[in-house]
Amino acid sequence: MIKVKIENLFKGYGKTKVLEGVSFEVRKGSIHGLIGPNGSGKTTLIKCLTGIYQPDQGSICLDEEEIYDNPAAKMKMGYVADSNDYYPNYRIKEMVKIYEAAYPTFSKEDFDYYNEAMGLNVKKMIKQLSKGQKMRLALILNLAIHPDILILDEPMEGIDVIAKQQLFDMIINEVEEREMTVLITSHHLEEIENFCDSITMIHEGKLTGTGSLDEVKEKATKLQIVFPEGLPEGFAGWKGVLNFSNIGSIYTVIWEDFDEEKKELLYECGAAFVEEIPISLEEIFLYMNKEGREQ
Amino acid sequence: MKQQKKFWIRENQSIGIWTFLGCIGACLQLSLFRSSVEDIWRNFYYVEQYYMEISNTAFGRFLSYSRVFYSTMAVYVLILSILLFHNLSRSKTKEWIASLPLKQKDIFWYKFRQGRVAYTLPL
Repeated sequence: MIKVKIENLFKGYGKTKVLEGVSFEVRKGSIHGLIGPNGSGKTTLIKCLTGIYQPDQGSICLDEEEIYDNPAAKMKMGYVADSNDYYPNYRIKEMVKIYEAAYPTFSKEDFDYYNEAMGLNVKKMIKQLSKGQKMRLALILNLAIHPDILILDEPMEGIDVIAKQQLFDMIINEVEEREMTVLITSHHLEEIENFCDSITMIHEGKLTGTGSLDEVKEKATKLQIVFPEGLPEGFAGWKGVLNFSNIGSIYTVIWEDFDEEKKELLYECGAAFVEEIPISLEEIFLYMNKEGREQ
Repeated sequence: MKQQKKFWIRENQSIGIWTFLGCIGACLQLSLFRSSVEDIWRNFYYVEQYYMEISNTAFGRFLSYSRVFYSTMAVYVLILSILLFHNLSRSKTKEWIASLPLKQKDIFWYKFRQGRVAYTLPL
C-alpha cells in the first residue's frame, strides 16, 4: 500500500530551480532513505512533504490527500528538522503542552516512557539543552504523537552512540507495532543502508534513482577483473564504466547495467578472471553522482 | 551599532518582564507621590476647574489614581505592542511551527508566541 506519493514535483526560490520533476512513492510501514549531496534539494523536498512549503507544480499526497494547508493530513505526520529551534525560553514540559494541544493523538504517558530512556529534565529550558538533547527531545515528542509517517531530516546529528541506538530501537518498534512509515535523510550512508528498506537518490534537484535497496544496488556492479596484459584500449570510455582502479593487473571496476554479454566481451578482450563482489550504497552514491556531475 | 541595537530589541528575552516591572514601579511611585502627579495631570490636561471640584472627594481621588494607573498601563501596552510588532515583523515562522497540523491563519498565534516579549504571557 502506498503511503506517500510524490508526482512531478517542482519547487524553486525565485529564479533558482531546486526540485525539477521529482516523482517517487513510499510504501506503508517501510523505512525510506532520501540521499543526495549537499544542495541537491533534500531539505526542500522534506519541507514540501511536511507542508511547510507549497510546491510550485506537482502533487504530494499522504494517503491520497494533499498535504499543504491540510491539518487533517499533517496530523498524521511527525517532523524532526535538522535544527530544532523550539521556543528557547519555554521549558520542556511547556513544549509537551504545545504538542498536546496541537496533536490530539499525543500521549503524555508515552512521552514520559520515552523520556525515561533519554533522561531529559522536563524543567529545563530549551535554550539550556545541547544540540543532541534538542534532537532527542524532538524525536521523542514526535514519537509520542504516534504519527502514521515520521519524517526525519538528518536526525542523528550530534547524538551519542548509545542514545542513537536507543532512538533507532524506538523507531523500529513503532514501525513493527503500528506499521509507521519513516522517511529519513542522512549523510551517513552506512546508517541508511542498515536502517532503510528503500531509498531515493536525488542530484541537483533531479531524481537519480529510487526503489528498494536491492533494486538500487542492482543498478551498478562492482567487479574484480584480472587483465594480465593490461587494460583493453579505450576501456575508460566503455559504456557503463563508472570508475576503475588497479593494484597490478587486478582491476576493481564499478559498472552500470552490467550483464552476461559484457562479461563475455571482457573475456574476449583479454580478461583472465571476472568476479562480482558486494557493492556498498556509499560506492553507488559516489559514482552515480560523480557520473551525473561529469555529464 | 544599529545592528547591535536591533539584535538587543529582538533577542533580549527579559525585555517584556523589565518593561512590565518598570511600569508597575512607575505606578507605585506615582501613586506614592500623589501631589506631584496631580500637578502633572492638571497641567497636562488643563482641567483645573473640573479637577479642583472633585479632587477633595473620594471619587476624585479614585479617578486620579485610576487615571495614573490606566495611562501608565496604556504606555506599557504601547511599548509592548511596538516590541511585539517588531518581533513579529522580523521573525520568520519557525519550521516546526509551520509543520504543525494547523491552518495557516492559526499558525500566526504560534508565531506570536515565538516573539521573545510574548514569552512573558501565559501559555
